Amino acid sequence: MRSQYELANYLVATWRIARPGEKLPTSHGVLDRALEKVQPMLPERFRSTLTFIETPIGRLCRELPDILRAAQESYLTSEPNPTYRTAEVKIDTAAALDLLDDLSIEIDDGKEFGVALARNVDEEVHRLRDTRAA
Amino acid sequence: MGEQQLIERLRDAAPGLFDQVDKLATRWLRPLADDAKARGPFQDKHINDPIWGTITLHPWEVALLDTELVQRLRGVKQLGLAHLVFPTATHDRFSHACGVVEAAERMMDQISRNTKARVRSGRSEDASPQIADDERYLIRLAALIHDVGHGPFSHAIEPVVGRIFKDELSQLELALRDSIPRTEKVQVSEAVAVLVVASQDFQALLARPLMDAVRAGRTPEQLSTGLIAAIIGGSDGTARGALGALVSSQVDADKLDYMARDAYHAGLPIDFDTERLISKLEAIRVEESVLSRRLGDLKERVLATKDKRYQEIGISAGGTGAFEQMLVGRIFLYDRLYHHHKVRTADSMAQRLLYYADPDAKALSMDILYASLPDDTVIRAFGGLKLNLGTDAEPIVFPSTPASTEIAQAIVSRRLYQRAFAFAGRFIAGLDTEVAEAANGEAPPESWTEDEKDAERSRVMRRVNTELSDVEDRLSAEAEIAALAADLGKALPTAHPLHQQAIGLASHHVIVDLPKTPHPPRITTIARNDDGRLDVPDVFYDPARWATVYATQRRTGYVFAHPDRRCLICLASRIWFLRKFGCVLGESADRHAKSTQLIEASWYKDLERAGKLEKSERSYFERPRLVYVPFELKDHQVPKEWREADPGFVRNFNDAFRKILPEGISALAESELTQTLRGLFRTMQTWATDSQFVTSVIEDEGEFQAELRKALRQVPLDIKEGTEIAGGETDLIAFRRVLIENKWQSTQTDNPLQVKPRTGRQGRRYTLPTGQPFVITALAYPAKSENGHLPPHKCVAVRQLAGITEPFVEIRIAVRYGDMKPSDAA
Repeated sequence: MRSQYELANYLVATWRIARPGEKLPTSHGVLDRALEKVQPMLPERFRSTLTFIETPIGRLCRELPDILRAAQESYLTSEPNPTYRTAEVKIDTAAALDLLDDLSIEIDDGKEFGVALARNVDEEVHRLRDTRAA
Repeated sequence: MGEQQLIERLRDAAPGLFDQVDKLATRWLRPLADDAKARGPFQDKHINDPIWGTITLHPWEVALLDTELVQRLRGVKQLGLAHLVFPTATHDRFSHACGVVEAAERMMDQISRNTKARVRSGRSEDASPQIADDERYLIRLAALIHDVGHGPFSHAIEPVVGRIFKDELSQLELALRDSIPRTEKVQVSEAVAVLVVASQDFQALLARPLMDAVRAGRTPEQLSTGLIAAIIGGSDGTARGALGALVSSQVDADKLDYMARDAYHAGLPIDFDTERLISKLEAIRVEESVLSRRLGDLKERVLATKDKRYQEIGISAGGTGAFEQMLVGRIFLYDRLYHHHKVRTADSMAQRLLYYADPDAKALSMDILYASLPDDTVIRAFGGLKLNLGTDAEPIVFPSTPASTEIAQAIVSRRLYQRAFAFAGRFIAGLDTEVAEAANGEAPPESWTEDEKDAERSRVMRRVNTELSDVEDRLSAEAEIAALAADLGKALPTAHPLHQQAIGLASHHVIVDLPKTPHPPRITTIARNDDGRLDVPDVFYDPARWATVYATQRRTGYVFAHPDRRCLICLASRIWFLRKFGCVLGESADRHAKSTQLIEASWYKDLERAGKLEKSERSYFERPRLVYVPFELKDHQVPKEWREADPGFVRNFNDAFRKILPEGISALAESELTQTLRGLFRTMQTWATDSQFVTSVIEDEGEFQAELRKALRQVPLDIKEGTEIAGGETDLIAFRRVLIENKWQSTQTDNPLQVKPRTGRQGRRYTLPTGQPFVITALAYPAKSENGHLPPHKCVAVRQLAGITEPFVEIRIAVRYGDMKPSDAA
C-alpha cells in the first residue's frame, strides 16, 4: 500500500514537471501502455511495483487504478466531469519538487522520467487516433 | 506447461504454505478419503435460499459439502464482525458458497439460451458451442470451493497470513501468473484455495469415481488447472477457459451473490438488477472483424491464436444499465455497510486481536488460523480460552497475551472501541474559516483560492496516506499515541480526570484506522453492440470512476479508543497529529467523530502548566486554524560545494530566518520559498563556476532579470513576471508567493550584500498581494577588486528588513558579472 502512494506521488510529480498545466490521460489504456514502455526507467524501488496483465479489453497495468486512486486521495489530482478520461494535476512545481525530495529522487532524474513518460503518452494517443481513423 | 508441472511449481514457490495447507486438506477431506464408496451414492440436494429461491446441488457437490472443507465455512461469517452493528448480518460463507453455485448455474443457463437465440435469429451463423455438462460441472465446483481459503472473520485474517507467508505468497502469485494466462491479483484467501486444490487429498478426490461426471475423461491435473484458473480469474481463451470468468471477473457469480446477500442480511434497501444483468450475459467470440476501434489492441491477441478467434464472457449492450447499477451499488455497500465506522472498529479489533495474540508472528500457523472453529470461539481462544484441539502428539494451542485477552473480552461483550478522533483533508482547520474569522473581527491572513486550499490538504494528506497506509505503520502510530497519552495523563495531578485514564494505558487501547477505498472497478468487461461489434460498454459517464471519486470524498480516517480512555486518547491524538503532520482539524472533524464534548478547554492549559504542551500548540487547539511551520532549508537544497566550504551554512540560514519569524510561515509558503532558494542557489553555483557568465556584461536590470528568469525556469521553477501580479516592472514571482526583487548595480563594489539598501523595502511593497513576510532581493554587481570575488555561499544574507518594525525577512543574494577576461588582462 505504501508503495502505491509513493508511486502515485512520483508519477504525478514527474508528469507535472515534464508537462506543466497538462492533464494526465487516464482512459483507453493510454497511460498503462506508456508506463509499460518506461517501466525500466522507473527508480529501482518502483520497478517491481507495476505488473501488466491481459484483460478482456486489452493489456492494462494492474496497479494503475489503485495508483490513480491514491493520487486522488492525496489531492494530487482531481477527476473532472463529465468525461472522466483525464485527471487534472492539482499540484504546482514546488509541491512536485517536494514530492521528489520526500522520495530522495534527484530532480533531473525525475524530469527525465517525466519527459519520457509524456513522450510515450503522446505516441499512444497518436496511435489510438490512427487506429480510429483507420 | 503440463498440469502436473503447475502443482509442482506451486509447491516450489510456497513450500511452507503448501505443506501446511496440504495437512489441512487431509483433515478437511477425511470423510471422502476414508469411505467415499460407503457413503455413496449421493443424491441431488435442494436448499432453500433467500436470494436465489431454491439451490440445487449435484451428488459430488453434496459429498464435498458434507466435508469439513466446506462445512467449516458455516463458522466463518461473511461480513466478519459486522453483525455486532447489523444484528441480522450473521450469514456465513457456507450459504454464500451455495449461492455462488446457483448464480453460476443461472449465468451458464442464460448464456446457452442467448447463444441459441442468436443462432435462431440469424445474428450468428457460427455461434459458440453450447456449454457441455462437464464444463458446467467444473465451474460449479470452482464456485463451491472458491472461498475455502477464508479463515475466521473473513478478510480480517488476510494480513496475518500475509505477514507470516509474505515471500511465499508473492512467489506463488508469480508462479500462477506465469502458468495461467490472464491471472490478476491473487488474494490471500484465493491462494489458500488454490493450494487446497493442489493438495494431495484433493487430487485424490478428483480421481475418484465420485467425480467421473466432472472429470469426463480429463485427468485430475487438467481438472485442477481449470479449477485454479476459475478461482483466480485466469483464462486461456478457450470456450472452456472463458467460463472461469463466471467465478472471478468483473461480472461474476461471486459478486452477484455477495452483494445481494450482504444487502439482504444487513437489512439495507440497496437493490441490484441481477436478473437483468444475467439475462444479458453472452459468450462472445472475439475475432478481428468484430473489434471496435477502441478494442484495436485485441487484434494482436486474436492473430496469435490458432483459429484467429477466442472466447470471452461479456454482456450485450442492453445490459449496460444493470451493469452500471451493480458498479454503483457496490460503492454504496462499502459506504453503508463494509466501511460503516462501527464495522471498521469491530474488524480492526479482530485484526488487533490476532496481532496482539502473537506479536512476533511466531506462534501462529495455518493449523490455528484455520482450525474449523466458529468466529466466536476463535475470539475466545485468542482471549485465553483453553481448547482441546489437535492430537496429543500435535495439540493445537492458540497463543494469547493479556492484551489479546482484553480485546477478546471487549468484542465478546460488545464493548467496542469508540471514535476519538477523525481525520480527512476536508477537516483541516483554517481552510474554510475565513467567514468565521471575519466574524471575529480578524482578517484572514491570506485569501486562498480553492486550488491553494487543496494544495494544503494535499500537503497533509499525502503524508498521512504514505505514513499510515500499511498495518505496520498504523501499529507504530498506535504505540506513539498511547505513549503520548500515558505521558500526558501521568503528568497531570492525580485528581485530574485524565490522570486515571492514563494508568495502565497501552498500545492495544488505541486503533488507528485508515480505510482503503474500494478497489477502483475499472471497466474491463467486453460488450457486444446490436450490430455485432465488440466494444467497452458505452456508458453515459464512467460509473466506475465516479464511484471512486465518491468513495474518496467520503473517506475518513479514525483513531478508535478504548471506551474508558477515550478522552485522553482523543486529546493525545490531536496533539500527535499536530506534531506529526503539522495541522489541526476543525470542529467538523469533532462532529464527525462525535467527540465535541470529550475535551474540556481548560485541559490544554493544564498540559501547558505541566510542561507537556507548548504555548503555540495550545493556541492552535484553542483557536483551530492553519498551522504555520518553522522555516527549514534542507541540506540537499543547498549545493554540496557550499556545504563543504561552510558546514554551518544551512543551520545559520535557518536560525537567522527563525529568529525573525519564530512562528514560521504557512507550509505552502515554506515549500515555495525553500524550492525557490534551491533553484537560486543552484543557479548561483552554476554561474559562479561559469567563466563566460562572470566575465559577461549585463547592460541593465531587464537583462539581468531575463537571465535569471531563463535559468530558474530550467531548474525547474514556475516563474512569472512580477508585473502580472505586483504592478512592478522588474520583479519575478516564483510559484505564487515568493517575490524576487532584482537590482542591477553598475558601480563596482566589494560589498554586494550591503549596497542598494532600499531594494528590500521596494520589494516588500510588491509582496502585499501575496501576503508573505519575506522577499528575496537579487543583485547583479561588478566586483571592485579581488575582495569582491566572493564565493557564492558568501553571497547570501538573511536579515530583518531595515526601516520597518514588524518582522519581515529579506534574503539578499548577489551575483557577480563583468569580471575582466584573462585575455584582456594579458
